[in-house]
Amino acid sequence: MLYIWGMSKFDYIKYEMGYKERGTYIDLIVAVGVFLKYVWDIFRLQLETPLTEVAFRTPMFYAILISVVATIVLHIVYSILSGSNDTQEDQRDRQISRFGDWVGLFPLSSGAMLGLLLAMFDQPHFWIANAIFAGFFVSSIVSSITRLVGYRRGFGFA
Amino acid sequence: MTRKATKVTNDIRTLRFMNGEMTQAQLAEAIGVTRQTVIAIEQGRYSPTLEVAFRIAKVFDVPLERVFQYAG
Repeated sequence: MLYIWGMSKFDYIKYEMGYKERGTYIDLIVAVGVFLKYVWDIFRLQLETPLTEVAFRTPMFYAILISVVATIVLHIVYSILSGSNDTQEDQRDRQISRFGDWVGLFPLSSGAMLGLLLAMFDQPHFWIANAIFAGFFVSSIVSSITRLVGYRRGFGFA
Repeated sequence: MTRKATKVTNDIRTLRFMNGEMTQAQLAEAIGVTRQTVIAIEQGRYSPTLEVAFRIAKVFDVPLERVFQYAG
């Protein structure tokens, strides 16, 4: 390896996030925010009603709706604000995204499996729905964190 | 300090310097990836596909082994 003095003048010293990496923060913030809001709603409701009898359907429906709509809207706004020159996606972005999705499959399938088991043993709807619901959100959070680790540290292959 | 995620090392930084102090942005545009990807490759955080590796070598007009080395 040849070292040449004065290289730093054409190198970027500070770390600058790319378009897709910044976008991953949107996914993470929305997932964490909506999930915490839902947990808080259920916590407040169970102060007055036994947990398994809490009216969870409305907060859960809105949590899902808001997470989908907020993610889409924020990505559109972010894309507009970023301008056309900054929205490029390349092979590394796709590899990192795919790996994040793959890692996110584990909590997703775990939630589904848990929901299935709870249904098989005639457990309350509250636990079945919430096991699957938690699987979705934990999956999204784990997937986003995995992608951010991929961008920051790399996986070797991506 | 940059953590190396791959055993593939490279001389891209040196080659850029020797090619008219080519910037990372210029190299990124020439090979069709983002500047962040060029940075990740240079720092050993990302192993590019074979096709991108060949494109980098072509930009500098050198053989592939001049750009990448395997330290495994």
